[in-house]
Amino acid sequence: MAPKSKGGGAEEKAKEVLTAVLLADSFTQRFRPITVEKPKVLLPLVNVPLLEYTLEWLALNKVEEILVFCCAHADQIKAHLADSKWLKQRSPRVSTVVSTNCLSLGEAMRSLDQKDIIKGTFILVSGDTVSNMDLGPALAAHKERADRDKDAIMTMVMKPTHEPHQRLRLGDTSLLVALDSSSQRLLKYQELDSPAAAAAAAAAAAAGGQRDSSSAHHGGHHHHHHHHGRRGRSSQVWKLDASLWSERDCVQVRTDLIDTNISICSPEVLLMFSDNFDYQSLKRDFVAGTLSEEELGKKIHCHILQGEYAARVHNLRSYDAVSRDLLARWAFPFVPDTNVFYKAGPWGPSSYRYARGHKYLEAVTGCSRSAQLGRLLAVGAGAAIGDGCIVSQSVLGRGVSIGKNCRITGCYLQDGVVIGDNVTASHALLCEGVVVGSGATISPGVVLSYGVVVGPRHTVPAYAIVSLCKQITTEVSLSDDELEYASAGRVSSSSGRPPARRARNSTSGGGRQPRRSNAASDSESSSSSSSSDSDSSSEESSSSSTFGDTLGVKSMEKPSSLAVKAAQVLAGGDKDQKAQIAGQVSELGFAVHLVGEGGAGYEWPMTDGYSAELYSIAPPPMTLAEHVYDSDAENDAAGGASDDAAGPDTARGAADEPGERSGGAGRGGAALDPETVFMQEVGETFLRCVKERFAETNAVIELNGLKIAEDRTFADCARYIFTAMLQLCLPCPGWVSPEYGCLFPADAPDSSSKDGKLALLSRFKQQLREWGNLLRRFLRSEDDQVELLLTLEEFCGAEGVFEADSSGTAFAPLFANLLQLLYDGEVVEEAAITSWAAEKEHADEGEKLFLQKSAAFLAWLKEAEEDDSDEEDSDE
Amino acid sequence: MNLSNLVEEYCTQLRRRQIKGSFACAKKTAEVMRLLITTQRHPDAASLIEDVRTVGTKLQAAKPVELGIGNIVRRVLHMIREEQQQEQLEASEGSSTPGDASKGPQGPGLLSQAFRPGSNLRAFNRAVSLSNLLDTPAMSADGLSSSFSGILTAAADAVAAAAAGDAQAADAEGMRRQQSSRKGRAPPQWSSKNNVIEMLNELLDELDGIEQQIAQQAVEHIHANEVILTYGMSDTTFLFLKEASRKREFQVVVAEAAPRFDGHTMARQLADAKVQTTLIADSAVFAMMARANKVLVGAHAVLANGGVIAPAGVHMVALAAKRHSIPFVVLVGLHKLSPLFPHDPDVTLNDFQSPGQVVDFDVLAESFMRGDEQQPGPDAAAAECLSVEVHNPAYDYIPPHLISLFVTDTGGYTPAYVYRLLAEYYSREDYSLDKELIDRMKL
Repeated sequence: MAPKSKGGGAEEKAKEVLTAVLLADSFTQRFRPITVEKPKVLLPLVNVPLLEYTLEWLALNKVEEILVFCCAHADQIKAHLADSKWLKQRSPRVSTVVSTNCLSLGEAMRSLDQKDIIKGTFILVSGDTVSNMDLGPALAAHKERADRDKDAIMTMVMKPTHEPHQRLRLGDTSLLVALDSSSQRLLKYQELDSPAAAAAAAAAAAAGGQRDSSSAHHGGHHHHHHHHGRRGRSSQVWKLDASLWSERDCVQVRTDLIDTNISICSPEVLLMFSDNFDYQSLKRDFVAGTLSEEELGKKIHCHILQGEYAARVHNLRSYDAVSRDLLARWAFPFVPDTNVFYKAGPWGPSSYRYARGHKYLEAVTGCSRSAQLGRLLAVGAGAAIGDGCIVSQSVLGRGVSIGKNCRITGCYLQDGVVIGDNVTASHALLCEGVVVGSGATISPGVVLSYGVVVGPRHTVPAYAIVSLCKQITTEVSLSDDELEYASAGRVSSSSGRPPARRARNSTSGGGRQPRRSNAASDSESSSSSSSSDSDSSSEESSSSSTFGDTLGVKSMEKPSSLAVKAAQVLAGGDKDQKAQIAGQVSELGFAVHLVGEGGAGYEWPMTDGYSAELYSIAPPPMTLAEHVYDSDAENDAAGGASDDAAGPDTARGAADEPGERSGGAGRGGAALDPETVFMQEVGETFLRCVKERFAETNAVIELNGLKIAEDRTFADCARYIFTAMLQLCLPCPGWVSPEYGCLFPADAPDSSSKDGKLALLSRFKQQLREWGNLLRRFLRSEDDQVELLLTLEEFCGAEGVFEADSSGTAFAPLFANLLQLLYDGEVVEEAAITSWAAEKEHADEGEKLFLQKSAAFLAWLKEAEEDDSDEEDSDE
Repeated sequence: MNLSNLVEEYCTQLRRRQIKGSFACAKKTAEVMRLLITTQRHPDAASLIEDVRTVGTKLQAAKPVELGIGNIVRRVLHMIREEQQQEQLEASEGSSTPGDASKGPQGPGLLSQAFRPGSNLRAFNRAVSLSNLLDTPAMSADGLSSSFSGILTAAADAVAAAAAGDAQAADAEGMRRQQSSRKGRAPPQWSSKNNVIEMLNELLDELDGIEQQIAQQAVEHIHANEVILTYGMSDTTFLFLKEASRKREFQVVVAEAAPRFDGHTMARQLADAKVQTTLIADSAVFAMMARANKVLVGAHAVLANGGVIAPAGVHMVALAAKRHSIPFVVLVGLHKLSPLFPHDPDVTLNDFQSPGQVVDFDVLAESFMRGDEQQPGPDAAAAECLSVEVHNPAYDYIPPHLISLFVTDTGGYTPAYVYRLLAEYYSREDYSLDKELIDRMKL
């Protein structure tokens, strides 16, 4: 399905409209609970909605057509655009595409493909990009490549950074990238969990092949690698295919690149998303898929930025870092005093002026003369700062009011925040309408969502996240839909509103699987929407099968009106009013330990194992940072014992890493060999599919995701799905986590007795009936089927990976019957069986055990085949 | 697409820094002005002035650092005012004695008008003298000035204003009557508008020819075997040197102009034009100055006191030249001539650009961790306080005493003569564009 426009010729190409797709939703929940009420792209960054930065930057690059793809809170985004200058301007044309039931980037791409609105090369960005990059060179390079070779479908923009702390600062994960030095073609894209692992990988690569030391700008980085290379060791070893080097003279293996998530795509990219319906994330699925399927010949290239700024606001850490970068003018011309951004409201258009020390004040501010305004500060119009305040490194929105003698450092106060006297606040994010009582202290890392009230003289503990929305936690045994009704009923009864669209916080564990279950149910209730907010790519661990299954966390999209009313009274009302509603307030059950007496707000627990210290709005504490980054330095003292696989320090360092959540490995410890880990992961994934009664297609998606993440073949998956099916006929083996225990039968039929054999076989038959189709989908060729038979052999003989768990021997006497069942169930074809037999003919006597057992079946098969051919002959 | 949208779009482009260079900004502003004058209907000069000023203020506010925008707006206003005066003069002469002044050729500048008999008073009151140099236009209009010329001015202005006011009032009255009788019909255009448009077209042509005009004077300023020192890239300077190289043999020393390093481009282009070129680091400027015969630089704007705003680093070059008593010549088109003083609070002298040109982004991360060491404690606030603050200003201000000569499209002038040029190109009432607007809003 190549685009048919090729015939159009040069003129059609000439007037190709430069289009950008701006994803106004990035499908994760890093900014909750703020995003429960407002989409992330409308979150103000230095007093300007995030979306504006991306739009301005695209406009700066003379993009003619911008499609804003909205999922969650689409109405709010549309309203914002309607108010803004964008719809009034001739160029660029900004239009919205609304698709409320998309839950991942992949689905968004497929929906765009269906709508068939994109014809030419397009720029794909998320709505949280802040950049001043000139797209010209990257676009020109992409088009030039695409003209030469239409398989060059995508150009990814990356930014080099040599300082390891940069990632910590931006809240990014490490990345290993292999590039062809001459063409900048991407050969490998691997998100790494810890810098230590990255160094180890680079060291492995250095040992494995030539390294590119020719590029001059990259010299320091080169050195850096060697430095780490000496001590690099980790429980994770990343392998680079030797074939990378076989065809090329020079390969760069780099860990210094930060992915900006800006990509230039050919329209084929949309087609590929449609063809591979299971692709969800751009990086984890699409890029990994394209790179692994080299035989398709699709190529991805990289564009490395030099000196230009590009960053994403994908979590609170980067929100803080990017705000500071903006104030320090790194993204010029996107600095407050150019007043590029449109502003409406009572204080009129943006009117910032620059003052020494990176201070930006709008024209009408009411700062007391005795207030000390420090560096890196932006103050919106109408803000009032009381006597004796010390304010620095902060962003104050319009109409913010600060009492006397406050100390505000590193805080983000959105429009209309009210702060009493003698308040100390540092490194916190206070959303619109927050009221802080006099004498209160806001500790670092605190996030107060819309309308929260903090009582006087109360200290909000560090890293507390408070919202007027209540997070509702329920057992997952309720299906999504049931839960939906439950909460809808609650909303309508309490506020009289019609049932609101519900926000789904499906990934209590940051895993991808629970979300898939939503995807499944979404086909039934397409009106529901996700209000996820930041991209899944970096945080989601590919194998987090153990998380998020016990808890289903749900929240309402709006705080209850009672809570809002109570908060308003507590914030501004007089004593009588407060006394009046005292009863109601106690009924509402606000989290007093967080907001204090006279405060309003509920705790919003972070359930997804996301390290609060590392990714909060406050800079991470030094000790933690040291721990993460110098864990390998500690090991350095031990000398160059690089073969010593898992030192205790490294294990600790790796385990603390946010990305490190691979369930199987976590439980099994680092000692397990990767094959066993993979077997268990496939097994667990499959078991979950069984437990949650996934439709077959969804199960395929799950397993495919795992396959891509682990870079395995279809046969690998099929093997372990198959063994898991066999194990389901027996009592629960040791490696399975208890939650799936109920799936297994309690008793073990005695396979030596005839009854026992029959029972076992009927159980397996049942399994095969249910999941045979799934198995078939993973058996792509005859070779795969042979592979499966060999696995069956191993399983029955308790060899290889199955050595630890000898339950498979129960099936040993039934080998021939199993073979028969597989054949009858059309899982394994005759040709595969014969070629397996042929292969085994030449094996050692000891390995022929199962061949002998199935001799009768094989003979029957041969006979049947001859009969068939006879019949065919007779037909002629 | 209506005009206001167009203006808004142009403003956005200015704010985004999409239009680079004072020449491009000046040209675009002139085009917007032409569009404004040609497409909108204006019954009289006053309404036209009002319109031009409103739009002009908006444009200038979009990029305060680009003084060229305001300059063009003032030039246009000046043209309109001149035309208005001409009209009034004709009207008054028509009513009293048919004078000879109106029959004379339409002098483009005030200077020619000043020497015309009969218009002496006019020219005199418009000329800038020490006594009224710093007067605000409001003062002279109010007749509060106590100086002799001030009184004269006030008297003349009062007379003119009264006459004009009467005429206008009568005109307006008539028009209103006309309008009320025939509703729906657009008000008639101001009759002299076409002259303004013509002059504006001339201005646009003039803008296009500016660099050539300057370059033509090159041979008068560059002599054989001289060593010319220049700083960074400037199109005007390049054309000037190229033109000179057709007749003369000389050497050019180019300072690279960190952190933008456009001196590299300059050196390359000069070498391609077969000029003997040497590239030096900025830090070598002082040492190299001893060998130079002349310094030639381009500028961003010329201010009312004869000082200039030029790319960052030029001040250092000017000081070095002064120390060695080397002539410091600034090549500048007269569209860069601004009637504002450097101490004017309205003048934004500088544009602080991205530190990315100066240092690597990584510097932030280094200081990020170092700054964090101050934790723990309540003063965790101090984190990142140690962070390096990186500044990258775009411009320098060079005071007039360091400048030997301006070479403009109309010839060479010393800084002391700048005030005179101002009087020729701008009307005093327009020196401040937006202050008046604010005053009017207050009223």
